[in-house]
Amino acid sequence: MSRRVLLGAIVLVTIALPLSADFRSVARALDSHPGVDRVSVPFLGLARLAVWVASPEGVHDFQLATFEGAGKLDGQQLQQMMERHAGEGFSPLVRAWSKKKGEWSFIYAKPKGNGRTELLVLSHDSDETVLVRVDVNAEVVARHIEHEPRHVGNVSRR
Amino acid sequence: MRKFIASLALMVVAALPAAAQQRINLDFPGLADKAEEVVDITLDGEMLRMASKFLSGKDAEERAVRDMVNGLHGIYVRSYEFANDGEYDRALVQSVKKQLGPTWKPIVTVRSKKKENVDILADMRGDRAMGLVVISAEPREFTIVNINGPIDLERLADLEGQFGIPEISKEKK
Repeated sequence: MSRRVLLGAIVLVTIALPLSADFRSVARALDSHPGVDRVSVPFLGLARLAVWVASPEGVHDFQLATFEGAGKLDGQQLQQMMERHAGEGFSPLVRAWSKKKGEWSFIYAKPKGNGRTELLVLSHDSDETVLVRVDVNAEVVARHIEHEPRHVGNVSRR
Repeated sequence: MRKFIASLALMVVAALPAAAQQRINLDFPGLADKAEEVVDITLDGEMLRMASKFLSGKDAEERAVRDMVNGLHGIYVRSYEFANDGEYDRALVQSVKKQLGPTWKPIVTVRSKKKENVDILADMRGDRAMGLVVISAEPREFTIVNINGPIDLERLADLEGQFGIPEISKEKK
C-alpha cells in the first residue's frame, strides 16, 4: 500500500511540475516532422523532479528532449521552428551554424526576474538533435563555476 | 508654469544625446542564406547583465571588464563566412556606415587589397565613447560588432574574446 501511495505521489508531483508551453511546443513541432522521432530518456522525469525540489547550484528546472532522424531538417527549418514556437518573452541570444559541418545551434533566452533566466537551447548535427530548457539563476551558477572550476572542466570533458 | 516648461524642455534636450544612441540595423536580408558559417549574437539589457555575471569577480582585470559591461546597453555580433571570394556585396560596409550619425568618428582604418579591410568607429560625445562599431570585411568573411553604451576605450581590448567578440588585435599580430 505504501509503495502505491509513494508511486502515486511521484506521479502526482511529476504531473504538477510547471509545464513549459515553449519547450513542449518546439518539441512537438520537431516530433511532428516526418522521419523525426523523439527518443525517450529513462528516469528523466525523476531527475527533473529532483532538480525542481533541490535547485542544485542555481538550476531550478530543466527539460530535455533528444530526437533521431532529424538529419534531413535544415537549419532554416529549425530556426523557423524556434521563432514560431519558442513563445512569448523568448528572444534570440545566439544563433550559429556551419553548413560545412552540418551543425546548427540556437539559444533563446527569457528573463524571469529575481536573477533567474530561462534558456531554450536547440542543438542539431547530422547525428542528433537535442532540445534543452533550463531555468537558472545565473549569479549562483557563475559563483559555482568560479569556486569549482574543476567541475566545469569535468563536465566539458564528458 | 513657464519656468517648469522651460526646465522640462532643458531636461529633454540634455537627455537627447543618450536617447539618440540607437541600435544599428544589422539585419542583412539573404546574407545568412549565402554564408557557409554564421554567428549571430544579440546581448541586450538583462541578457547582457546575466552574461556579465560569468566574468570572474576575483580577478581585478575581469572585474573592471564586468563593470564596463554592466554599463553597456547591448553587444551585437554578426559574422558570416563564405565558401568563395566575393560572395557578398562589399557595399554592405557602406550601408552600415551610412546609419552612423555625425558623432561617429573613425578610430582605426585598415585597408588591404588582398586581405581584410577593418574600420573601427566610435560614437564620441565629448571625450567619451558612447558606442563602437567594428567592421571587418575580408574576401570570404564579413564581421560586424556593435557595442552600444559608454565604453572605456583603454579597456576595449579586454572585451576581445568575450561575448563572441572576435580577437582582432591578436589576429593582427
